[in-house]
Amino acid sequence: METNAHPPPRLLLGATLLFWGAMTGNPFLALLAALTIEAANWMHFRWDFNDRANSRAWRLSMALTIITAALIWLDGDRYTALPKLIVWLPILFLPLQFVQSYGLCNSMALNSFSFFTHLHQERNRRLGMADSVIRFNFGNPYFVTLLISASLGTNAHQIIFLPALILLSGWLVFSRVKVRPFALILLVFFAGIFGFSGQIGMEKLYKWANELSGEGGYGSNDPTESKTSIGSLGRIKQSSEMLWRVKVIDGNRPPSLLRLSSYNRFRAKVWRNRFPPEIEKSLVESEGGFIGLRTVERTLGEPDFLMREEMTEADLSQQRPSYSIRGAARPEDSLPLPGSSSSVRQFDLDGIEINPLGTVRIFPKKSVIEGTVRWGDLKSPEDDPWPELDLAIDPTEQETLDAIVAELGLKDLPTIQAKTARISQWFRDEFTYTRYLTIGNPQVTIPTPLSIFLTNSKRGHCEYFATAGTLLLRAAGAPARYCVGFAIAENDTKRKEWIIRGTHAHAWVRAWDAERGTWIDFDPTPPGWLDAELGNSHETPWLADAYQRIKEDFFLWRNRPANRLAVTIVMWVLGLGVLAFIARRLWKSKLVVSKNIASPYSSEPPARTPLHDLEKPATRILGARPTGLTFAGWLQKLTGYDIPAEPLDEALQLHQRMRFDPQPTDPSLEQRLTALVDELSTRIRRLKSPSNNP
Amino acid sequence: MRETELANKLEQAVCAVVRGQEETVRRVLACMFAGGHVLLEDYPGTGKTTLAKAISKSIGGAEFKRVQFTPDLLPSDILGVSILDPRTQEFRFHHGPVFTDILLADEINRASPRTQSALLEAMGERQVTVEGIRHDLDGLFFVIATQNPVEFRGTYPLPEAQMDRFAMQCRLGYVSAEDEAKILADQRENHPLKSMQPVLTREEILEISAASRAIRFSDELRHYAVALVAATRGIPEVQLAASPRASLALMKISQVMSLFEGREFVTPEAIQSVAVDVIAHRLVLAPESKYSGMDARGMVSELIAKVPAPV
Repeated sequence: METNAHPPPRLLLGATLLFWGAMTGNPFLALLAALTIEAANWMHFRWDFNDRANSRAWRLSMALTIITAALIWLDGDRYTALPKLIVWLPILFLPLQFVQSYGLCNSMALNSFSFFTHLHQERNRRLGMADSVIRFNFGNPYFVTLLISASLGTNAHQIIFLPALILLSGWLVFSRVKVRPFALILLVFFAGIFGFSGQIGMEKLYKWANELSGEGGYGSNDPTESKTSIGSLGRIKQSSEMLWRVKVIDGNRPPSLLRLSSYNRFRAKVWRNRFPPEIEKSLVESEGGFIGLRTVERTLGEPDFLMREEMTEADLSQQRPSYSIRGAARPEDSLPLPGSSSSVRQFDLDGIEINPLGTVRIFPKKSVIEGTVRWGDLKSPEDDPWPELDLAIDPTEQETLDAIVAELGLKDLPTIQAKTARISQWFRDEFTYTRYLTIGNPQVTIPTPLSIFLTNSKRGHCEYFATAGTLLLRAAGAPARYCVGFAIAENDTKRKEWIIRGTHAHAWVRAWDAERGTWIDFDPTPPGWLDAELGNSHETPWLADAYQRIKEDFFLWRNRPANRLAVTIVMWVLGLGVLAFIARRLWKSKLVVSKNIASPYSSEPPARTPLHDLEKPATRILGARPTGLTFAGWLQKLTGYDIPAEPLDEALQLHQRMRFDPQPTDPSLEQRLTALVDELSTRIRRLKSPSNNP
Repeated sequence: MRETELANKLEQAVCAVVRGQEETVRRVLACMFAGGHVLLEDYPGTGKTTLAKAISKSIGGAEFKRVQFTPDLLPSDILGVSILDPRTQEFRFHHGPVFTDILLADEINRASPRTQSALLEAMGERQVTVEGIRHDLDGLFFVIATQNPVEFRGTYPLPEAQMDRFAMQCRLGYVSAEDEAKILADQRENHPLKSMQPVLTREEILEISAASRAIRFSDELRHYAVALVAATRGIPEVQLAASPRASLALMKISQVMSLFEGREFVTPEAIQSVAVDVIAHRLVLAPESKYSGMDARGMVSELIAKVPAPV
């Protein structure tokens, strides 16, 4: 069983665990783990863990990993789940390291980690077939795991990370090989570079994964720009995943459109937001023009967030329709809200902000949120139009738009309602909604894709209609903005809730109603687009829905204060129960390793031989001797560590003769043994630590 | 010691025929020198019978008999039977195969319990009582019993009392590929058993036996051996623990093992090395522990690791 698999030097794993704790913000857990692992150096008992115990520990670690993965998954983010899991690996793999640290054997067989190779090995052993087994000390992969997960920690960007990393890997390298100082410095330097670049790479990966989880296009959460599919070819695909669920509290039905973000400048297929110079100046301090919503606290601890600065408490007491909304959200996500929303409440948030275009972004405390929205306000939350921006038209589109405005006679129509009705009418009569885009024009030249759409093909999806609608209104002299969000269309009558999916993402127009002094929603897309959108896939993905529902509802249930306590208690009881079970079984099978020589089999103190003086130096190499192992059998292991067998065997024989032969022995033997022991002990001391042998 | 040389000579002769089983051969021989009987348990074809034959062939003047146990074997087929002699009109006792120096009881667990227990008296008391008349088994009486693993079909498990009468239970197991190749090479023309010559006389065996009893056994180790055996009585999973007969066998066999190594005294290592083979087969486990994957040999190994060894 004894092989030359070297454990990492003493205290290195403990120090690395503390480092991991500091980097990931779990200092207490790390301290506990470090104490558990390093206490093995001082504890007086061990276990005779065999490969079966190793594979049991492996299965326990795997089970823990799967449970943790499930919990992380339930908590929301699927793309960042992997890095989050890696951060917890040191704790999840603690059982394996425990088995390694507290076992008598200093290596593990690689094939005890797979069920099938394990079976194969058992079979080979039974049939007496040769079996080559790779053995290694688990401490080494554990050390690497620790460094990797530390590099993913929240504090890993701090300057202390790099020197600590170099120090720790230098420690390992220094203890392994005897190198000249220059080579060592070089090695540590490269280790540092490797570690640093690895950490940067990991961070990049993490960010990339984070970005991946936001969808592009018109379901997008970016308040500064929306890249449209105008001018692209092919079918537009949207996920049918359930994003939000809406329940009506007051009123007959929820608003038909929920806005995520508004934009006001269209150029080269992209809608962006631009602010007039006087606002732009103040943007220096508020990022992206966002400012926190004003709150009114009518009942303690339950603030209402007001959508408009000038709203008063009296406005809150007015009868307005309201609904509750539930779904997953991440920091800086936009909250889908109707254009006429007046206030929101009950969301569990760290912050909620609004920009001058009426885009509301939130910083949720948890990955799933729920809250109530009041709407039906007479005024809209965004700023009044800025003529120089909200009437601007890109010169490449000007000509086409002017021609159409003249053809439809839009300029002559008195009210905004008449204008929008005329545009709607025209679109409905002459245009077709399609999600299969045929206007390809990657270079934005004349004729632009939009003008092809308006004059020639007359086929497109909501981004075409919304963009065209916005620009036509502007050309007709009415301020208009483009906005993206969701249409509320799917009603689950059984559960009495409205479901918002990725396929319900939509784009439409915010038009300025100069008479009433408010912005109104204008959806120029021909009605019936949703039926076209859903096409054949009209059936709901019930399995995915059920999963999403369970996941979100369980999450919210779990996070209610009362339930949270219950869940915590149940988890602790379960965890402690399993721990107690394992501890009890381990305690029963523990082996006491002795530090002093005593015999339980005779009343008088046992005869000491000079060989007993080797106990201390040998303990440093072999670890403490289990009490069941004879002294000679224990010292025999030294041959695996570069100690020549010849003097050792002689010494052991002399020792046995002096110790166990009832007949008195020659005193000259003792002198010979003393000489041998002196020689052996200098050899052992030269080994210094177990890691220095080849 | 002269006896060490003799014992090693016998061991080498047997090992030349039974390839790759050095450790087991020594144990089986130790059992013989200690005056005990051995039970070999393993899969068919691992060399149990060859080992027994090789031992008997290498001892000059030793009588070897073999009984193949079958379900219809009767006690009289082993012990012998009195038959009426028509000339003298008297019953004359015909000695059964048990009257021999080395008895190979092949596949002992295929006979009925009644026949199995016929061997009991012979093994325990070195005497046979047939029709009220006692017949002594003198000299070397060494039973090598073989059995297939108990789980096999068509077997009657040996009763606990009989298991206790075996000093040791050894396993041969499959040999390594190289040794197996050697076995093939050995038997290219003739079975090496055929050309085996006696290397020791029957008297020399008895000499070795006597010498092994003189191997010194310190008081402390005596207590250690007793502690090992007594520890089996403290395991809750064990229904029937090891008897003092086990401690006795442990002492005798570790004495012979020390003699094999040319040592005039016993070391704790010698005791530990044979403890599993001497103790494990005597234990009867509670049924539930069998299903938890724990076997008696594993339990004894665990005990050895736990009972503090004299250092």
